[in-house]
Amino acid sequence: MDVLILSRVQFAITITFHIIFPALTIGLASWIVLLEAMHLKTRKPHILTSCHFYSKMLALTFGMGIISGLAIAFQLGTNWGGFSKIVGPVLGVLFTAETLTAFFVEALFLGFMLLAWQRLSATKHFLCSIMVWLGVMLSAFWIMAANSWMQTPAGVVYHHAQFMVMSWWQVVFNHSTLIRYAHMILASWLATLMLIIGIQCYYLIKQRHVSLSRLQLRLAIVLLAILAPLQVIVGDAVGIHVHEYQPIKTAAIEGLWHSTHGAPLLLFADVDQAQQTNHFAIGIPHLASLINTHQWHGYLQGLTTVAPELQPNVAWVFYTFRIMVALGLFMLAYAWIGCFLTRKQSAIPRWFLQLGIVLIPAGLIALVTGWYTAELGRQPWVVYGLLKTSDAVSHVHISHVMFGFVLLLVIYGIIFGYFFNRYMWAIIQKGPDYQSDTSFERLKQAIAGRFNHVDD
Amino acid sequence: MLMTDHALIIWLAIITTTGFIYLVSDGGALGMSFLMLFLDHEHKVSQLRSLLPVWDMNQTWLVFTLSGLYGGFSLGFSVLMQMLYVPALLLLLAFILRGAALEYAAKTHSSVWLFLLSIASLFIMLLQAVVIFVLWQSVVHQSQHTLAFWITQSVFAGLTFICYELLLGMQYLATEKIAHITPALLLVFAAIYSMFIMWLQPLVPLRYLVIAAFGLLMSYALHKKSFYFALKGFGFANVVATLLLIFPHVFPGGMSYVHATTNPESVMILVGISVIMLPALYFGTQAVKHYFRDEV
Repeated sequence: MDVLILSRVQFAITITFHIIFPALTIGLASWIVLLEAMHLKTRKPHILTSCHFYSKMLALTFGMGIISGLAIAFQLGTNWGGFSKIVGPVLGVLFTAETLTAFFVEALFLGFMLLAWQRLSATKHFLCSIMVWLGVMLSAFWIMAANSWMQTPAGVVYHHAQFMVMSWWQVVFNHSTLIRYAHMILASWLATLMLIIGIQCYYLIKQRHVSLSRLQLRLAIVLLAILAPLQVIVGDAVGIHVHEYQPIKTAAIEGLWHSTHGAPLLLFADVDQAQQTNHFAIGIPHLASLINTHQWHGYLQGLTTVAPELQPNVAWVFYTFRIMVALGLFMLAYAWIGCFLTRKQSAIPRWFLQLGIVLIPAGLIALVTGWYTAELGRQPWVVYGLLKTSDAVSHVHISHVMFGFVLLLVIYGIIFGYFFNRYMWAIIQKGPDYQSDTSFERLKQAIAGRFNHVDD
Repeated sequence: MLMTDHALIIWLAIITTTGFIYLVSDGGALGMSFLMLFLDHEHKVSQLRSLLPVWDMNQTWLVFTLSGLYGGFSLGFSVLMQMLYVPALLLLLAFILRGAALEYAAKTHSSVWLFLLSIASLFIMLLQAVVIFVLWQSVVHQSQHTLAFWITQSVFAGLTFICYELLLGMQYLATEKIAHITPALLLVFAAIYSMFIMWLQPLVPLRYLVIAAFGLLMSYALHKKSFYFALKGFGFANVVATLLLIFPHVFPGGMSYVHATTNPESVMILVGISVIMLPALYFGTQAVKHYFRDEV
């Protein structure tokens, strides 16, 4: 194992752990804003109590996001010195813009959002939550702009191993930024909705806060039923973009070795990169061409049109893509069945609730495997078509990288793997404190002369 | 050309300032988190509450400084981080442990996590001192001093840094009335710190500054706030003086700030957005700190 592979695996582990936290932060911040808006409209105290509950989860995911994100900033310098040197003047500006426009805004208002529930009026608190939400969304935008620029570089001239920026507008709004941003935000929302659905299913099985959990389950299921098909449409648009700008990535996704018209969609195949072929392939004729070009006989470029060293790891790209799509379709089916099952006041089948709990990680797994597809499919390029990953790695001794790799794995496993899940589970098990929060809110409203009936 | 040269100097000044803001805000938090070891459980929790609303803002100043180095002086950043591979990695892990300990301690008030918070803070201070040690070596090494001299001086540079963070932490604990810090203890630390600085700082005018700072430190007995401001101002003066001393070769291995950049046009963009945004964000963070002052 060399420094390049070890650095790539180390970065992959860092990103895999990190990506979960911002995704949940995006989803939870959006969910809290939605609930707070509902509270402002209805003034029902139990909605505010739910906000308190989700804000505890948000605090945890946000905190973990900060510290796991710091690891990326460090690793860009320690493990990817070549990348920093060449790409720094482009991406460094985007990262600085992210810090100035997003991180500071989040940090400024998060304290108010999490700790000033009782000090601020509902409207002022809602405005703080909106600011946190804006910060989170902006942060995701800058990161997706930077990553999309690596996928579809634009606005620069690469000359003498240096990027000269010709247009910052094109760097930020390169060919894939907006569509990939939409894809990522939707993926984050879907992942968070699966978490929320799972939590409400758990409460319903345990017969806790029944009517409120049912209401929230219904709301989350309906949102999932709307957003999941929207994600399919956006995903399709991303596929068209990938085919246009990164045809070899499309070939790897489709497991297509030879260029062809009317390529089949392989449902399964044993990908053999050494032999440049597939074994036991089961496919639907013409469907890959139809999906990627929107034409029945559409032309798809095969992997063998480039030298083997310019091909990504096909098996990883092929399988991770299928896991993402399969989970996405499963979530879609679950949401639509759920819309039917939760539409009346009749009992929700226990199997549906149990399935909801089992599917909690589905959204996050789909998100991570989708990220793998995008990043591994870009290889061996770190900036597609311009800079190879092998030219981006630092010239450090392998023992240093191995030392870092082992330490990182252990610390991440303990802190993010074990303790994060343990405390998240503790928050869920404790649940929303409807009783005391409601009493407090009742008192506040009684004083304000706006006492509302609370039905749970 | 002149424009880009000015932009580079302005950018260097900006990230030095933001780096110092991080050092003062998080350095104080690190110092008091370590000193928490000597407090009882109730006071530890009080102190934790005061840290929670502001710790992510403190980290943001560090992230800004790192991304500023990355964007503005990408070659310098690359050389710096590769040189500091092992201490930077350990520092990162200590940051992760400290952040996790802080978040989890806030959820549970567990004495184990509170203990880990103090230990991780101590590790961060030590590792930051190691970073200072390595950087100081690369600076002093350029001059004609003996090996023994620059190793000793580098060790003292690291110790000075720890001393500074502990002073900030003590000051915070005293003014926020979380713990009683005797003025004598504070003055002893201040004296050690000042002596270190006096020896480290070869710029003669700064020796007078040290004497002046002593006067300000003595004023602690009369007015606590003045001590805090003096400490901040004094620290900043030392950072600036050190930079001036080695200017323009401010990066390791005698690399000048001009050679540390790969694209001066990017620096002009960075200066443009930062000049507009940073003052507003700085005063915003101060306002938040002020709002949550009574969270202890």
